[in-house]
Amino acid sequence: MPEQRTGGWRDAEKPARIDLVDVLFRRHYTALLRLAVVMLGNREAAEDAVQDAFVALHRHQRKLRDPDAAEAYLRSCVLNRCRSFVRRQVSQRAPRPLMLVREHQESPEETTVGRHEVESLVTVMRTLARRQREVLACRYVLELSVAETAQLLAISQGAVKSHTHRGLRALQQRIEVTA
Amino acid sequence: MSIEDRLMRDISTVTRGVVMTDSDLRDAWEDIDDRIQSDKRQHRRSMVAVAAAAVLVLVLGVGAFLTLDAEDKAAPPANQGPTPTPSPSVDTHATFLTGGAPTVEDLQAVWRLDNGNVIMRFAPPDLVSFDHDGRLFDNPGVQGRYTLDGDTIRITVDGGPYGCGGREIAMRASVPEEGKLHFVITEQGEGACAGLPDQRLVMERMLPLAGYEDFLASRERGWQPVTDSQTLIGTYFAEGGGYLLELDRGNQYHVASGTGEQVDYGEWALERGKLTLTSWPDSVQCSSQDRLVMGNLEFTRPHTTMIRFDVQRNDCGGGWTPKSWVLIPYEGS
Repeated sequence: MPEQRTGGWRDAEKPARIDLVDVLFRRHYTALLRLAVVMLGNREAAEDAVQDAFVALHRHQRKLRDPDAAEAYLRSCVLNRCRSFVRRQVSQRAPRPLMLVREHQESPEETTVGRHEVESLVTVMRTLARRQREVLACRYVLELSVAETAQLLAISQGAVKSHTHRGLRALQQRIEVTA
Repeated sequence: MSIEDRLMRDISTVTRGVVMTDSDLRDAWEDIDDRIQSDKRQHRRSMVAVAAAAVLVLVLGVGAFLTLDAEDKAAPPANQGPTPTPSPSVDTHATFLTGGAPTVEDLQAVWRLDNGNVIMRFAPPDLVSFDHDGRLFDNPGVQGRYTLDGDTIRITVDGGPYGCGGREIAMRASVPEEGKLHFVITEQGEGACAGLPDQRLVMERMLPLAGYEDFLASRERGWQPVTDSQTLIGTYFAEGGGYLLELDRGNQYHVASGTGEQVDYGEWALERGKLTLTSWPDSVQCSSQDRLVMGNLEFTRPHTTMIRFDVQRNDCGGGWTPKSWVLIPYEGS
């Protein structure tokens, strides 16, 4: 195992704000990365999105009224950054549907992700309307309840149910068309 | 197996593939830590600059006081010297920047330079783009992110064909009235990144709708069928407001709705007087292969300043109604 640098993630000498980010990092980083990979299908972009979220948390945590809200803040940041990434790709005139074709040489890790995704419903899920894919990600990746999903996305519980239903129905239709 | 079970199974397969070793975690934390430290250094530099400025003001103030005090005690000079120039701290833009500072909600819209071709778009969460030739979605000249601090908008450019990536542009802004925005550029990027320092810009909001209900196409111009797709390229604003349609040279189109949000994009084609927009899979609100077919397409000459059409097919169900669409960059030319 490589030697840990001074100032690394287990250094106990950090100020309190860093400590909180550190704790949250250890607790949530992997789960958030998985969320971003599901949303984007690109590990590098997913890592950027999640790391952005932690930096933003450090910058804004004083403004969080409730320290327990940090987890929800991180999730929300990751979803926002995934959304921005997709929008940027759209505005950069992607010549093909987003994220379905890789443009660069894949690393072994990416290849692993890619292989899992062949003919996966996750790939189809990324082509759904924004709200539908976000609601499905909250429900089935983060495993949030309807109420928690509604709170995170700032929509009503009825809207969560409706987007879930429509999203699943759209997935069903698309795989039927493909079949 | 139900679709829900199958989705859960596939998600589980994908997430299991995201393996994080100790080394991956350390690298990720070091990246985050580096960025946090960099943030802090930048913050410290700002604080030092502010402190230095405060000390300088204090020193100059004390110096001036001592000088004046000494002069008061001496005999008055025969020549009073030139009239003092106004203090540089006077806000020379105060009369232009009337109204309150904008909020993020005020900014998030599509703006057009009054009587000009510049289109600027602020979009959630912190995205901004602008272009000197009226491009809105089709690779606009400057693309980046913004922060709003009081009346100062600071743009960090991520990219765009003007080659301003990495540069910062700052401008002060005010909302003199609903649907208007005044800008003064305070820090200029290089090259074509932005206008000149102290340049004043008056922007009018196009989306969400602001006072364009009377913005109707002239009925006196001649209309002709469209036969050449090249005559269509541009960004169009719906008569009466509410939508923007951008048709680009690569045969891609983008539609922004009343809120300024992009709602659809895909590929456009012109065949026998019919303009067909076909949505791509990642269209925001339409499904893949949804089609909007516009028949009896006509445009005005001598320049393509307007188009009009009948809606013959509308799979996505957008609010397309027969109306004229005005080409933004050349409107009024």
